[in-house]
Parts: sequence; C-alpha cells; structure tokens
Amino acid sequence: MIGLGLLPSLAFNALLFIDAIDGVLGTLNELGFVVRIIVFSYLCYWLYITFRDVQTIFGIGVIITAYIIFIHSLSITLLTVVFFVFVIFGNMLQMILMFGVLPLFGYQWTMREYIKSPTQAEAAELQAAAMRKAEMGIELSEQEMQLLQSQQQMGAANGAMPGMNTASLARFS
Amino acid sequence: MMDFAVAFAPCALWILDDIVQWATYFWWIWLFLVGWWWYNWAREHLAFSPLFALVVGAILVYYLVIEHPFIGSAGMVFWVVLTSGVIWLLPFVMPFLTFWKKPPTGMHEM
Repeated sequence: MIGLGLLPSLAFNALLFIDAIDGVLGTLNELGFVVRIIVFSYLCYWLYITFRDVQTIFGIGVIITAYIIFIHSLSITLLTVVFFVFVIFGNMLQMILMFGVLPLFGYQWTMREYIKSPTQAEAAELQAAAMRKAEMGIELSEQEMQLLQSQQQMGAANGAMPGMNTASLARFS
Repeated sequence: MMDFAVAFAPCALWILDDIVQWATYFWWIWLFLVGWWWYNWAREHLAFSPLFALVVGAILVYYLVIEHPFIGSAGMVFWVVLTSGVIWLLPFVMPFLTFWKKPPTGMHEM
C-alpha cells in the first residue's frame, strides 16, 4: 500500500528522463529560454525609449538587464510572484483569510482577537472551570468573565421566561 | 462518394490520401503564418535595431515554429485573442451558450 505512493514519482521521473518522449525537461528548458528572450526584448525596447538621448546608459542597462534576465530568471520570477501576491493582492488576501478561511476553521473575531469557538461540551467545561475559579477567588481572564456574564444573563432570561430555549439565547451573549 | 465510404468502410481508405494531402498543404501554410507572425513581433518590438530584430526573430522562429510548432501556434492564438479584445464580447455571447445548463426539473410533467 505504501509502495503505491511511489508510483506518481516514478511516472514523473519517467516523463523527465526517458528519451522516448524527447525529454519534457529539455522542452521546458527551451521554452524558458524563449520566454527570457521575449522579456528581454520588452525591456530592451523600454530602455531604448527611456535612454534614447544617452546611449551609454542604454548600453550599460542592456548588459545589466541581460545578466539579470538570463542568469537570475528564477529569482526574478519568484520575487515578482511574491510582489503580486502580497503587495498587489494583499488587501484581498487579508479579507479572504479574515472573513472566509478563519471562520471556516471555527475562529471568531471578538473585536480584539480570534477565539476558537468551542463545542457545547467544551463550552460547559469552560464555564464550570470559570465558576470554580470565581468561587476560589482566582483572577479570571477576559474570556472566562465573558462566559460567566453570559451564563448569568441566560439564567435571568430563563427565570423571566421559563419556556424559552436556552440555546437560542447564546447569540445575544 | 460519402455513401460509398459509409457502405464499404474498410475499402474507403483512398479518401484518406486526399485528406492528408490537403492537411499537409494547410499545415505548411499555417506554419508559415505562425513564423511570419513571430518574426513580425520581433520587428515591432525591436524596431530600433534591425539586426537585433533579425536575431530575436530567428530564435523565436526556430524554437516556436520548427522545434515546438504547437506551442508556438497556441502562443500566437492566445496572444491574438487577448490583445484583440474579443473577450469583451463574451457577455453578449454567454446567454446563447446554454449547452452546459441543466434543463429545469419538473418540465416532464407537462
């Protein structure tokens, strides 16, 4: 069963190293070179337009650009991806994480921090522990104080209307 | 001619010769178009230096037309579609492309 996990890597290695399909790695290398040529052409055009009157700088810029594009293309690509993801799309990413991803994992924003919303059993345990701490006189954390206050509110509401479902009151705490 | 091909399918292989012949002609014409398009790209973007344009054009034609013609064709088609602006017409075309919508349920009762 564990050996089955090797199958994808064996297939991948076969794609890369078996001559029968002329080397996918070689093709990707060639296409990478073509993309570098295209990018270098765009940058050369920009350098020519910018330094049309000072051809010395144009020449130096061409040499530096060629070095960066052809030798450090992987680094440039990674830096560009990081720039686009975190700088250009940083706001969007933050909203997606705050309002989409974290709530899916059970985290709630309490206007100050994220708390992991507990299940009913865990909530009851936390409340019981907070009550014990209050009786023993130990200093309570903010979360525990909130739990005790919500419990007192629920108790008051229960007293006012005995037939009400206590679970529905949780959203008012 | 088509009836003959349908009725005597195993014996109609001679028609494939014609198809392959014309496909070969169109393939060479298509390769010429792709090659010309990539060379023109180099000429447009490197207009300041005809020699540089020639060198870059030669590299592009070699790798994208001779070595990998399908990838070169796909690149040309993708770039033309992207820069021509036909994507702006998509909102007008999408309402008519309903083949991926399921028909509404309950209609069979009528």
